Amino acid sequence: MRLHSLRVDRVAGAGLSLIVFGVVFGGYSYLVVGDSTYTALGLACVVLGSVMVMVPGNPVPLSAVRAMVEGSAVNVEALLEEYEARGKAVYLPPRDGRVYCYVPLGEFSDADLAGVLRSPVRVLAGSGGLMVFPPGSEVVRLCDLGEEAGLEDALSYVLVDYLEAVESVKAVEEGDNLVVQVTGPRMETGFPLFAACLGSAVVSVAGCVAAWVKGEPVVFLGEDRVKGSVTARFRVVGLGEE
Amino acid sequence: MFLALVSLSALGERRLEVYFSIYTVIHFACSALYRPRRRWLDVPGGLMFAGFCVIVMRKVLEIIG
Repeated sequence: MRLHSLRVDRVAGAGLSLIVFGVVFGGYSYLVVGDSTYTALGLACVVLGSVMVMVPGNPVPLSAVRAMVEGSAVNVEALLEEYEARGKAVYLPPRDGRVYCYVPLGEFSDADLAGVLRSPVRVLAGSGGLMVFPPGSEVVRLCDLGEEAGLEDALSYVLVDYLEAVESVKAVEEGDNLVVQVTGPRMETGFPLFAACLGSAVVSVAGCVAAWVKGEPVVFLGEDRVKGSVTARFRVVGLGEE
Repeated sequence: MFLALVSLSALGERRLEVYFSIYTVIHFACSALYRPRRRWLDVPGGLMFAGFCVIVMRKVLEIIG
């Protein structure tokens, strides 16, 4: 996972000042004055300063982030309803830093994907399907996942640490098939077409992560809910190097 | 943390390891209670834990030796 870029905000600036003060003061107290109390004071400043640097200055409340992700599914639901889309979504690898979803309107095969990947991003991708912007796409972009991130690590980071949308997540890959199991989901969209085509909210985010990490189209196959856990099935379409 | 510093210095504690150990405990207790969001891994926590392990090892070696 890549190191997040340090945006020097006020809190981080104050933290850096405390660190510098703590190092200088603590070093002087230990080496010159020889007093352990003042050295401990310098040490405390260093610890507090480093914690202030590590904590982001203006975190957005998690409930607000989750609400925005859930609410943004409304537009997708409206589109799916308008065009009567029923096909299973294909999460496409990032384009311009964003993951898009292709929802076929009719019969669809892997061979059609090459054309979809080449076509410009428009709501109606030819006559074959819809190109929609899943809510999880922006979340994945903001997480700044590195290209070398492992899939399960990336899923855990996005769903558990960043969004706190689930309690835990596991991913198993067997050939082209991918199974993602999440426990304790805390985000629900309540939109039937969205859930049928793209998966439930957390599954949709997982699909975006998978497409981002794999760099290849990921087809959503379906999901099952059992007692507080959701198991989603995907298929990675290996198109190879073009 | 500053409360711990004042309390320990008022009690006349001169050993730096004691201050460091108490700071480590306070750091992890606060992290567990408040679960602050972080930009990256808990580097200060990791370093403090490593220092704490070094202190414990030195004490154990002192007792054994």
